[in-house]
Amino acid sequence: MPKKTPSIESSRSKTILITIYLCFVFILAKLFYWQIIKGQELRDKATSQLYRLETLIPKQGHLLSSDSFPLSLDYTYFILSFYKPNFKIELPQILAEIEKIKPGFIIENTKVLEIFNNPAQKWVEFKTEFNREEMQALSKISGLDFTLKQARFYPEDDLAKNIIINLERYYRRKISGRIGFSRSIVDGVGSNLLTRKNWQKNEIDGEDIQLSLNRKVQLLAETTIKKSIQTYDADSASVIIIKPQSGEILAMASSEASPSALISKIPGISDLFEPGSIFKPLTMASALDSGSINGDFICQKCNQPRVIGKYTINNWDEQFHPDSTLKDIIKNSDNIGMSYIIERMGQKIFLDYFHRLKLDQKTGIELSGESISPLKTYWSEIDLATAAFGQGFAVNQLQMIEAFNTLANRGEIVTLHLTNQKKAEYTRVFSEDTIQKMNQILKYAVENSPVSKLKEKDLEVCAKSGTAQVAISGQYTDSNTVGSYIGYSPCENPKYTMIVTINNPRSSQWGSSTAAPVWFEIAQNLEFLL
Amino acid sequence: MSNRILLAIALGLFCFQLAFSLYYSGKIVTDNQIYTELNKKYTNLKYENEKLEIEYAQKNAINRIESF
Repeated sequence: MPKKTPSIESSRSKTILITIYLCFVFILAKLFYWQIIKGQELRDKATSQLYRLETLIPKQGHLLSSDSFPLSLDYTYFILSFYKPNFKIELPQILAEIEKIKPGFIIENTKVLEIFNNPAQKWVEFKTEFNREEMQALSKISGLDFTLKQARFYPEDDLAKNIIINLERYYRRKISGRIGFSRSIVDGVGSNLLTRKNWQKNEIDGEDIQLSLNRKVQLLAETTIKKSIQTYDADSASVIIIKPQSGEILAMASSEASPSALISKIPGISDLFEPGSIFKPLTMASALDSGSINGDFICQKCNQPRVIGKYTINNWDEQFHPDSTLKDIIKNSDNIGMSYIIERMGQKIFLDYFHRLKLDQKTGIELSGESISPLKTYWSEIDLATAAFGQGFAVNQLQMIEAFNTLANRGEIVTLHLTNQKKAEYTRVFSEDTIQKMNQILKYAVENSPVSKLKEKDLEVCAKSGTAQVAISGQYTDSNTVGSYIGYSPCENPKYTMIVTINNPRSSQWGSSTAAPVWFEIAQNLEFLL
Repeated sequence: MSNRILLAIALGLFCFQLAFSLYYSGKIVTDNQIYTELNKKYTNLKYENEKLEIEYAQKNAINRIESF
């Protein structure tokens, strides 16, 4: 057997060595590639598989009515999506399974399924809402994904809907709470592992907000006001009912013949109107309180129209009432008498009371969209005379009821509020003596005017009706009016103060024959609810 | 003699570490299982609560009552 030469042996061992070196270099190169070049990418991928970042959705706060009934709730549902590459069974089989759990799914989603039949379409989402049980039953099927969604649910349907939506916007931060985050290590099956590396910032649930709205009173107000639009062939109508002593708003309803597209609009705070004769008791109370007139005032010039410059002040029925007392002036809604009363008071005192009654400022109610009208800077003699019976300036309905409620609340103005987030503030405007006189006057006016037929015998009411003409292009028109009725019941320690306004009623233009019947209809039923 | 003491200490430490690891790893696994179970329970109760709230609200809503 021939012996191998040493040169052949050394070349073989060299080859082996070189191969080993090359392998080593190759391994090094591969390691360099994976650890240095691809290192960061792989680390990121590993972290994303190891860690799970979750958004912790807080529970939204509820809006609660005065009896703590939820007026808005959270509602959780799931949306289904298909991902074709993950399918393990055929689509018809999947659809049959879904149909078993959610009958009607295929019919409801025919169009989406047609799109999904296109081979290029790999993913599709459906609009059908699934509850948690349905989701759990279907989530075992491969290729089906569910996304959690949250929506708001309003148990009372459209009851006070505009107020609820407006309040939800106003208190958005408080109700929404704060989103939390959780970063945790997960095991192979995706369950969370308890380790020190986990990090969590808890979600903060939203706050519940207690409203002063009384559901039953609100429903009564809404149904009655809706009916009044048809009865009086009006453009719109609004009502506000408050608790006189606390300033809590019990109901705030409005209805329009052609509903506004803006769902959160609240006409009671956004629409301005000239109050007209419902303002007379406030003018009279200011005059009495300031000592400009006393209780035995008699209007000696009320036997004829009053002429100021080129303007003539007349009464609504063009009737004159000589030697009218204060009671007669309110009962007859005497514009002439009121113009003499405000003349005694003068502009300075009138504007001082106007300011103290907060008619030149926003009520500060917890709603967005409140409008106010800037007060004129120059007041002529005729401006002051017409202001006595509520013409020449505009207020919103809430401002008017807040000011008028001063008579119901023993002379103290109380800030109106809808929620427990705002506390009532009290400021004295009229003395108790003035209030006593005004109560007698208003009671007399109700008992001795045609509206007394509308009320039940045992219902004691202190109220005033008003009809304000609407100025169009700087001119008052008879065709477009706002009928209103404002008052409280009973006159001593009243249970509620209420204002009703009917915009542009075509069946009758007078507040006493449009707004007053609505006021008394609500008042009759309120007796059982409060 | 001192070698034996050292060996005994080393063995003791080894056994302690072994026992410590076994005990606490078992505890961590158990706690983790409890946590997962409780988490599941919490989620289920949360949904149950939401469902009950909606049922209660639907049952006691007054808006559909036509008259008083």
